Amino acid sequence: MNSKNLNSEIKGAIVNILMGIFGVLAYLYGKEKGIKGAESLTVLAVAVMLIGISILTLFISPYLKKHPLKSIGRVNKDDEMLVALRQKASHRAFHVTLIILFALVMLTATGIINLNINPCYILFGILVLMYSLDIICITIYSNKSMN
Amino acid sequence: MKNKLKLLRENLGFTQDQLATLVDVSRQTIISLEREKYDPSIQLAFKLSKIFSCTIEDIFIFKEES
Repeated sequence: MNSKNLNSEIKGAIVNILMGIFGVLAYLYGKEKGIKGAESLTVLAVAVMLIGISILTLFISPYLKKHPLKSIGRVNKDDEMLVALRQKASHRAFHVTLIILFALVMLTATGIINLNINPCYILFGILVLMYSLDIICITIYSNKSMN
Repeated sequence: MKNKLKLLRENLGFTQDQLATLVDVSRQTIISLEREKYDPSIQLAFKLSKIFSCTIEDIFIFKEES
C-alpha cells in the first residue's frame, strides 16, 4: 500500500501503535530482567493506552471523515489548508516546549528550583505538555483562519 | 493575495459547502480563502478556475509585497 494514500490520522495511528508495541516490549524486557517499579508500570499503561486509542482511531477515522465533528478544536478533514495549519501548530508547540525546557534547565541548574522527580515522569510531562500545546495551537490557528 | 472568490461563487449560486465539495476541501478552507486569510496551492487555484470557467488571474489578484 502506498503511504501517500493514507490520511494523517491513520499514519499517526500506525506510528502510535508501533510506539505502543515498543513500550510493551520494553516493559516485558524489563520484567524479564527483574525490574518491576512504578515507572515500568507507567510505561506499560501508556503503551497500552497508545495502542488502544490508535486502534479506536483506525475504526473511528473513516466515520469522522463522513461526519466531521464541527465544534471541536482538532480538525479531522484532511485538506491542504488544514494540513498546513496543523504543521504550523506542531512547529509552534515544539518551539514553546523547547523554550519551557530551556527555562526549566536554567532554573534547575542555578538551584532556584529543585526537581526531585524521576526523569521518566519529567519526560512524560514534556510529552503531555507538547501534545496539549499542539491542540491549543491548532484551535487558535483554526479560529484565526475563520475570523 | 486579493481574490474574487465570494463574488464568483455567489454569481454561480453555490454555497460555501457546495464549492468545498466540488474542489474537495473543507468549508473552513473556502471561508479562509474568501476572507483572504489563506493563499491556495496552485492545484486548488486550477480546480477553482475550472469550476468558474476562467483563468486563475481572473480569480486571484497578485500584488507584490513591498
